Amino acid sequence: MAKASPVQQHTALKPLPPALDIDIPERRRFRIKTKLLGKALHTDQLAHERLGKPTAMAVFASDALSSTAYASEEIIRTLLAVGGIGGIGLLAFNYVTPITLCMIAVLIILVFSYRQTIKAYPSAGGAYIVTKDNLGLLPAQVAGVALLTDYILTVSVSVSAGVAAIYSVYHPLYAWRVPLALTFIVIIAWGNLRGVKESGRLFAVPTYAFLVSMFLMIGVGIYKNVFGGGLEHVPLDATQTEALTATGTVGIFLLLHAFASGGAAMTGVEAISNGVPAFKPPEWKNARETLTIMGICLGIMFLGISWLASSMQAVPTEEKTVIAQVAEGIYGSGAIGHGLFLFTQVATMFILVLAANTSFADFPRLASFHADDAFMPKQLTKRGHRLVFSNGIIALAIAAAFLVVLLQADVSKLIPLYAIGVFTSFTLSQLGMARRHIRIKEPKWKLGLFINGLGALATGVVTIVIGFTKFTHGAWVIVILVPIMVFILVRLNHQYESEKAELETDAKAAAEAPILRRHSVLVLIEKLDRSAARAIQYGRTLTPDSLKAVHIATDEHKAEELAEEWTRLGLTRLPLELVECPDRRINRAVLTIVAEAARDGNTEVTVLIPRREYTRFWHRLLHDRTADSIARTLADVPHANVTFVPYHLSGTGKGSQEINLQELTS
Amino acid sequence: MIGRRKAVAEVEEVDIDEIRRLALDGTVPIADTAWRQQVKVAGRVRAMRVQPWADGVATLEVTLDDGTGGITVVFLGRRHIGGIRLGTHLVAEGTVGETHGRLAILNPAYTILP
Repeated sequence: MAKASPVQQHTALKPLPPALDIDIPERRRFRIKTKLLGKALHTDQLAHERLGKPTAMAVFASDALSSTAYASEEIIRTLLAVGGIGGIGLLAFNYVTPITLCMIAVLIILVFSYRQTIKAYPSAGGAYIVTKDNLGLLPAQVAGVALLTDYILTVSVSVSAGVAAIYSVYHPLYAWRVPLALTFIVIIAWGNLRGVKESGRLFAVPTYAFLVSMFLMIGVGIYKNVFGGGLEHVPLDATQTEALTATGTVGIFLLLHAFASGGAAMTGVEAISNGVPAFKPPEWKNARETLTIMGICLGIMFLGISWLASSMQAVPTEEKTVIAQVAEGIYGSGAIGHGLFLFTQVATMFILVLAANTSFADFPRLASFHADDAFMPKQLTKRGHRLVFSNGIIALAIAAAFLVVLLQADVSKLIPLYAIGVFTSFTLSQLGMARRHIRIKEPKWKLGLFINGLGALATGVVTIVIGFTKFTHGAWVIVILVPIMVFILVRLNHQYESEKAELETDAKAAAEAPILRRHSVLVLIEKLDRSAARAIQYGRTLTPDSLKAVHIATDEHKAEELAEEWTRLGLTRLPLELVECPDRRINRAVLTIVAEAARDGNTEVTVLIPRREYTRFWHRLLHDRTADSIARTLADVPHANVTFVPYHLSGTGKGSQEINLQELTS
Repeated sequence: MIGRRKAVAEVEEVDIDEIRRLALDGTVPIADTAWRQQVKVAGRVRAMRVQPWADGVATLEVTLDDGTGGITVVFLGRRHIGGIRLGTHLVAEGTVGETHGRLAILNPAYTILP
């Protein structure tokens, strides 16, 4: 081809193709991922949707509201000691409503406390941030870990309770509860990996359907109870009757234990304070109002269900949840009644699944806060394919699934583990707020201090009560697990900090340190083939002070053949060194040669390793990973550097995966 | 046939010991060698270099190792010496010089040990 003149050369120039338009063949893994999760999102698409109050209520309140589906039931279960001993029989129903009222007192205190937090931390004021800000990093780890364990439990409990809502309608599904619960977890995790936007309709429908169904049920129930001559008792089977005839004594411990079981209803109250920035401006005002409305709804529903359940003497069984019994009893067995019953159950199931979903939004975010402060693996801060914290989502799904399998999707077995974590974080964040009032002394700080002080006291007492009364029932796991986790996180942090310190010390001086005088390049060669030739060609472009090919002779005959071939082909410019390796430990042999080359302390050694790249994953199985293992060994030698020189094998002849550079840039 | 082979083997055994004794007489540890010394060393071939010089002069370079250290032995004008390969035991005698910044014995008198 004749040489083109400069003018011709310049007129032939074209602008570069747009950055993302380059057609680089994607790996199979990525293609599968795209099919499963949808197109990868651009970082700019990290949308911050602003939510109005009704939508925000749907998004943030589902966790808290949904707990009414099982909180009353757990109080009754504890008092009756269903399936255990020490139940107090019919007397129990005298205590359900008072205990619920105590819990609602705690709820009121919490709502007022969190109204303070929302105002003080309009940009995301979760327990972690508040505690970190006011009490320091270590208490923040305790608050964070406690909250994380509770997020895991929220998923397990909500999904299990959602499945319970299903099998209360159609009992044969009881046997399938674990697979059903796992299916829900997988679906929710998948949805979150795809990036379910916390957007209105998806959340609003189930949340408001649940609200409507509950208020309708409570309304009809009150009407029938007050004006319609009272509600009939739920028909009983043998186990229920047995539970009702128990004659245990009413002790303070039992009442406290029942109170602690009801604590499950408080989980999720903190959700709004985590998401203040998502509200439409004025953010803190809207968030506060939403929190208050949510608190009122939660209180009414909790109280209503407890009251109805005790009037009707509903006894939870394996087959039917208390809510299902109450709904069935109130609506009767007519066609409309049955329809309303089904509506209640379906709404309950959906809001429970949605509550699990809230954890999938909160857990990864909280974990990323931990990781940002170097207390958790850095991988948790990475946004994945669809701009969500994918690793956090997967971790949560695995942990929750593990719990579901371990405890057989049994809500009453999961509940004892529950709530202690969330109350720990409540206490710490309220203490943090109290400390902040003392520290900053904003206007009306004394009132704030009183509110948050009361909040800290109340939640602290509840935490102790829960830890104490549920200890033998399973809370011990959490009481032991949280300190262990905190210890691990602190160790992790020390590791990260020391790494950081080492890497950053004198980084500037190190960058300006004089370079080593010599550069020696070794090309590792197994046999004389195209991949080796490619590596030698690349080695030449480095123009080192010395360049040689090295063959580790694990097989003497092959070594001799190679030497002969080397001579015959007249590769005179490049010496080939044969190194014996009688113990066949190639890594050690290479290590020795490299160490020798770098021994004078004045030589930078580069080891070039030809590496075949395969089109199909199973081709890789046909060869061992010697190249990678050599590279790992050499990582320990100072001033030894490894470069892989890829050679693309077309494999089955279906065309190489090698990228055509000409096509790329033209 | 069998009887004859056995007889040969016996003869060789005796000879090998004798050869070794004679060949190794006066060798020094490689660790003790220094530049411009006249030395006699023995060791096994740890590494071999093929075609080391760019201008096409045939050269065979081997690294001898006796456990105390290693030294380069250079045979100029040879591409290949029958019997010298990786793992061969070799006795080399000559003056210690330098090549590629390392101590080396150039064109030594050598004995391949059986």
